[in-house]
Amino acid sequence: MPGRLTVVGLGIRVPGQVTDETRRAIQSADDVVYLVADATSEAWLRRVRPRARSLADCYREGRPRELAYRQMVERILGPVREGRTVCAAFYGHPGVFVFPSHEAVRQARREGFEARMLPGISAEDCLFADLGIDPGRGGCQSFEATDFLVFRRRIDPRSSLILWQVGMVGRIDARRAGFPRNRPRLEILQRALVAWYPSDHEGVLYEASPFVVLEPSVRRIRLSDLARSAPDFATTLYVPPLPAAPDARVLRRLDIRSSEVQRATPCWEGDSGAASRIARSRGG
Amino acid sequence: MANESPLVRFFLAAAEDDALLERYRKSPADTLRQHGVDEESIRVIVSGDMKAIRKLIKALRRPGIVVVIIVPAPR
Repeated sequence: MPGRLTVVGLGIRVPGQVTDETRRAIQSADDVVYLVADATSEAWLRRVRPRARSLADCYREGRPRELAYRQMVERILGPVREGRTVCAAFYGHPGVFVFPSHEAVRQARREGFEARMLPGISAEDCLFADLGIDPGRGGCQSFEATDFLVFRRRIDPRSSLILWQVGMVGRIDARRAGFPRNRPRLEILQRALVAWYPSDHEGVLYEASPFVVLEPSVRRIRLSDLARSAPDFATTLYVPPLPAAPDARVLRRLDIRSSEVQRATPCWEGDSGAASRIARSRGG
Repeated sequence: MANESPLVRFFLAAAEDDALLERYRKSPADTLRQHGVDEESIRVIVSGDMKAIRKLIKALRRPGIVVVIIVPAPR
């Protein structure tokens, strides 16, 4: 029997966001390995598969993340090479901000094994739901914070911007950045953002809730206060779009009226639920 | 299940029991207490401070093997 790999995502809130196909993949595999962010996810996995093994020990203080990822890939593929079916479970969506999941699938296929990835609910999915944002209105740009800086990404400030891992900006090892140690790097990010937006433009520091009984963390800040805002390693920055006007000539050519064009709006406008949640969290 | 803390057991139960979730919404501290959650954890959870909650939950993860190395004192 040839080995086979299935990579799955558990979603952010476990077990509520675990899909049926993911649950079946976990239940039916010969071996289950996992990398999760909280004790509840780990406990749920161990209820379903008591012999599931964590990959968390691949991370070590001060060790480059790249080395940890390589070790994870080897741990995932070892039993596949021995002819076993392996399910590798990750937090959130297994293909979003997860290197070892993609690499394990790629390498398994290169070696001739069947490998597939099942989608999961990502932090971005939770952000759209919790902040009331539709990426189809005005578009949405999404970057990891360090990538945004080092590649000098050119953005359109008239579309939404999402920056991931702002609390980890500039860090490439497995150490947690922490505040205020990371403040100088946050100041660099703040300057880069203020080059695109007015300094009093407001953004939202967001963190999805991994627990069913807790609200998401939502904090509205001025971009010029980002470096003082002490974002956590899991915090995401959402920057709402600046006002945009459609091009009159293009509208005429497409035979569309200006009033028919859907405009992007800040997430706290036109959504009373998101607005009240953000208002409650303001200054928190 | 033997290694699960009362708080983790509560989170897993609440994720699959709407009545329990409703009881928590009406009276969070009492509901947590009924599930054997300690007072310090209740204080952190009820505060809603995500950073503190993450720290608390991280500390609840299954303990691994602890190796204690005793270094001889210099003579």
